[in-house]
Amino acid sequence: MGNEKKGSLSLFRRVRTVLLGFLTLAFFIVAVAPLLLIIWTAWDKGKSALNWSFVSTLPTGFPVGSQGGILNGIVGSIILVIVASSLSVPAGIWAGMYLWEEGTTPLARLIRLLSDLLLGVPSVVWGVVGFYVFSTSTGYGLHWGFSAMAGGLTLGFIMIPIVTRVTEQALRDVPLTFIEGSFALGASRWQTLKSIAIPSAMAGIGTGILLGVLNVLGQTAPLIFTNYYNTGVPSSLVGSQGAVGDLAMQIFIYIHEPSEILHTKAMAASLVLLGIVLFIDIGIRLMTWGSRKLYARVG
Amino acid sequence: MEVDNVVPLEGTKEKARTGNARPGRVSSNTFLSRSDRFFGWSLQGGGVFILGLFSIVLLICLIESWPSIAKFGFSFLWTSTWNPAHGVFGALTYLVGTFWVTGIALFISIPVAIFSALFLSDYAPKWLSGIVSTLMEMLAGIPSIVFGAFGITFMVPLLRDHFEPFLANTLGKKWDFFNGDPMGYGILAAGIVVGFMIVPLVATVTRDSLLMVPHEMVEASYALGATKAETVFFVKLKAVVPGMVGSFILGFGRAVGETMAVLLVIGNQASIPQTIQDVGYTISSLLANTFTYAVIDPLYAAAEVELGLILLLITLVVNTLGRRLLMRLMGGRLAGSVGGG
Repeated sequence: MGNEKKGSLSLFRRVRTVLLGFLTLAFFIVAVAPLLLIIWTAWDKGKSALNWSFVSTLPTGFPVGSQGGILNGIVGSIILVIVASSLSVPAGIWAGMYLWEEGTTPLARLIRLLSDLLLGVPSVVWGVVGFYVFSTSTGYGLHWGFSAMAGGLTLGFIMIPIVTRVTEQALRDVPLTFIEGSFALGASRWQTLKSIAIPSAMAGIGTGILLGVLNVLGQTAPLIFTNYYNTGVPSSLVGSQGAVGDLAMQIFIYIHEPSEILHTKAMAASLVLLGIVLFIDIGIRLMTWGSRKLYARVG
Repeated sequence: MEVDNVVPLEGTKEKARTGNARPGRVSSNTFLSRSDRFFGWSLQGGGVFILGLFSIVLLICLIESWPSIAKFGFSFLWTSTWNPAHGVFGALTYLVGTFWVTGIALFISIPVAIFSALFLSDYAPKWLSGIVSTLMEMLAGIPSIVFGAFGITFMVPLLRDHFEPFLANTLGKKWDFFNGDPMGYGILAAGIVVGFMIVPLVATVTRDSLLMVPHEMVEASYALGATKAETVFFVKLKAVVPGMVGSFILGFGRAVGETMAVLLVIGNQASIPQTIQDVGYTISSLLANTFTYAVIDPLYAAAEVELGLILLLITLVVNTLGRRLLMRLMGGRLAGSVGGG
């Protein structure tokens, strides 16, 4: 546009036009470079430790982890995700249904604001809260010690607002004509929600759950306060024997040790964690290709 | 569920009395059976749950930090002594460290994010824009700890061996602010890592507001003879200033609570940074490092929780503000930002 009159543009304007265009490309490359650099660094430093036994054995040797693998972390992460989901999926869908049903009443607006604010609560604050609710051995808490239940439910707290927000959005994307049609046929509220709204919104709700899992998998700070780490597989989920390993926590502990072997293992574990996270991430994007914009920002 | 106990007559009366009761609801409470009323009530529980969770977070932070609030009052905010052995606590060192890291992160991420957003919304061809937007959003999903591990193994050596000596030899010659021992670890490393972490958030929000600029505005600009770059930079960008500010605010809220990535590269030394190459400490990294030792001493624990409370209040204020700015733009589609891990 305006191209026909290019000859009449001053040199300054022509240079400025081209230069600004190239600058946007250059800065964009700077913005996504970390993604490629991170994957490359993890691969470069970690590939020597990566093999089948790395993901299928428990850490041994001295310092612990210099031999063996990260099975404890993988098992622990799975346990934590299950515990977190078992709290946050029902609670989040429940709250999401409430926000959808109530729409723009003043109370619903307040709850929506609070839910959005909970999304932004820093993870150390969640850690502190989780510690006083679940882990502490004195005071009013549940006295579960550093355990999978404490860590998992704290992660569940973090996941609730994510599931809530995406559930509401997914329900809102169900065409209102569906809902009206259902009411017109004499269905009750519960029947409409159960048989029309929820099934139509299932893909969106599934996305919300996966986004929550994605977030939970990468959380480390709350686990420092509520679960810490275990080099083995736990025998129970609460109490002094209840702590589990966790991939993110394992990376944190290994990278802190002054040992070359452990650094290599940390990078290999990062590679595994990255693999899982990117796999879920790409899965979500394929699932919601058409309506990607709605969910992109929660992750 | 039976529908035979619906009482339409009564419902009609009620509707006539209250008008269109409860505007904004998907289904109004009028033509309802008893079981549906019960269902409506049970849904309220979901709302109460969120309310409860929010109150728990706020109450625990308030209750547990009370001994410290009562003892030090507001002076907690501007004293820098942090001495657990003598029971004297002041937050200044950590507040300054936190704002240093956040400041550097925003300084780096704002230009990168704005230009990338413009690239995605106006310069990249449509087929490419979809793919590269996905790349950028995937960056947002990378766990904080992986960013931290990347920071230690890649960023810190790079800064120590190349960038920081270079900085000291050029800008540092003139301004002491850029001088220092090139250690790699420090507020600069933390700021850069966090900066890259918040670029996707700031860029996607800015891109979304750019995509909402009315087409008439762009056409008018072209009609007046502006080039593409002039239209994009002087017309479109100007039109989305509120959205951009909103995205910076969300980025700030995200950066201020970032924990693991910062903890691994900042050096964790409780001193107020004098130059950009100094080591430091942030609120979140202090809590992650020392909280489990602090709980033995009630006052020490209270002081640490008070730091957490300050952090919480900052993010609450910041996110309310950012949400308000963006709400007007996006019509409620905003999902907010997730606190860093």
